[in-house]
Amino acid sequence: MWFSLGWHDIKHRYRRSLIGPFWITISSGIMVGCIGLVFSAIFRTPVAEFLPYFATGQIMWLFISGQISDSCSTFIQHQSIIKQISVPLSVYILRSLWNNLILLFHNLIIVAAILLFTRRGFSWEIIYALPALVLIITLLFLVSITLGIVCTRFRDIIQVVGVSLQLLYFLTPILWKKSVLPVEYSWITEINPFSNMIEIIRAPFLGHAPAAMLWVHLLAYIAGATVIALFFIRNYRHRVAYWL
Amino acid sequence: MASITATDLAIEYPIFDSASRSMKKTIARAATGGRIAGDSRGLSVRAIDGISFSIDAGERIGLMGHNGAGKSTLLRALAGVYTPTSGSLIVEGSVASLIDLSLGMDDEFSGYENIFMRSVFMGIPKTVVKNKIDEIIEFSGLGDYIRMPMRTYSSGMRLRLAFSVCTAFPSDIVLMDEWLSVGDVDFKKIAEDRLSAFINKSSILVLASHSMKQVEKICTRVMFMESGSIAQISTL
Repeated sequence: MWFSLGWHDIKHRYRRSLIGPFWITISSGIMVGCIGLVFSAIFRTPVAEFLPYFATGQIMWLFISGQISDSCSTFIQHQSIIKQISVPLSVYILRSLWNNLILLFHNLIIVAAILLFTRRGFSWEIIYALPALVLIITLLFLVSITLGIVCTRFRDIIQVVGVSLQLLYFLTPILWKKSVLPVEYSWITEINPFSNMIEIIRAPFLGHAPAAMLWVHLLAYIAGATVIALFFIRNYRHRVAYWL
Repeated sequence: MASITATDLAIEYPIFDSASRSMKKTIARAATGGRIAGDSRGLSVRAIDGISFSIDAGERIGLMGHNGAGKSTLLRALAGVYTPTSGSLIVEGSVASLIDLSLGMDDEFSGYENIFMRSVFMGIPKTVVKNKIDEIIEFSGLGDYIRMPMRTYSSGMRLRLAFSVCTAFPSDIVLMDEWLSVGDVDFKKIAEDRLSAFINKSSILVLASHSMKQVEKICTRVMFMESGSIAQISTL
């Protein structure tokens, strides 16, 4: 069900528009290109080195932050359906997740183009990207369920999440590299789950295997998020219709 | 065997204003012990106030009462949208809700695609829809319009399409808010026949209505509701 609904959302974007979601590819492509060129000049790093690093991180960030901010209003957006028929809440979350994932695949064209353009190409380490993506999706799913339920009850959390995401963008090594961080501040990336998610999926694209600790941490985040999500599902799943 | 059993069923809506939707205010209130006068903590509407009844297979139930008596809330509870706040509600059998006919339909898409969209929300597998699709299109009477986006339809055409899909797949329990009347005079007659046939295939009908005449024509029992309670049940 979520599969056909998410697919439907994408088809909706293609309607009355020749290239549909590729507008998003174009706009994020332009953004990645411009910021990449400007900052490689500011940081005095060669474009061929900075651009692939930044592009991969940025595109993944767009996926992760896009899904998290969508999840806050998912139930509110579909309230006309939720108030009429009984469908598991996870269907709505999977629908938006699937939607964002398809957009990610549109955007990955940019990453592929940049990697080829800067002659980095792909190496066999790219296969690590697959399990990394699966784990990221799992974590996002769990976080989305929790946020969806909480934001339906407390509507101002939606704004809090929006502001936090903006802040986290600068605390996550996307524009900058971990190595430029003074040692006393390195904990920022250690405890930041976004940093973990970005790094674990960026490494395979740049031809490295992700560090073992990244897998361990990500699995720990998933375990934690599972406990929280289960708590909210068990206790508040039936309240969502009342809160809408 | 389809059946519905309610025991001390109560449905209570919380009433939120912007203050109680806010996390900050809720925490602040917890700290001050919730004694602030005039805030809406704990304010709620008891839409269904501890009712008990049971409906067996073969019954046609009419729900009557004033606006705000709890008819629609009860229908939504039967559809599984609202879980009882207290008491219990056991619904056995598949439920078809004819409350919002065009639920999930999308104007940008063709009538053909919307048949599938609507069926997704009714939980009907794609293969089952495919077997019925010709019959649905034929009954809707849309002809070649079925390939056009729904935004080009008149409101009557929309309703005919939605009605054709909703009544294509029989279900154990049918929920209705007012008896449907669809389309112009010609269509009204065949729609009426189709709806009757659809309901005859079902085992239980719950119809909320304001029209005693309609209820007397169709139902076997009437439940009169008054501010969330059952005032009277009578067999027709």
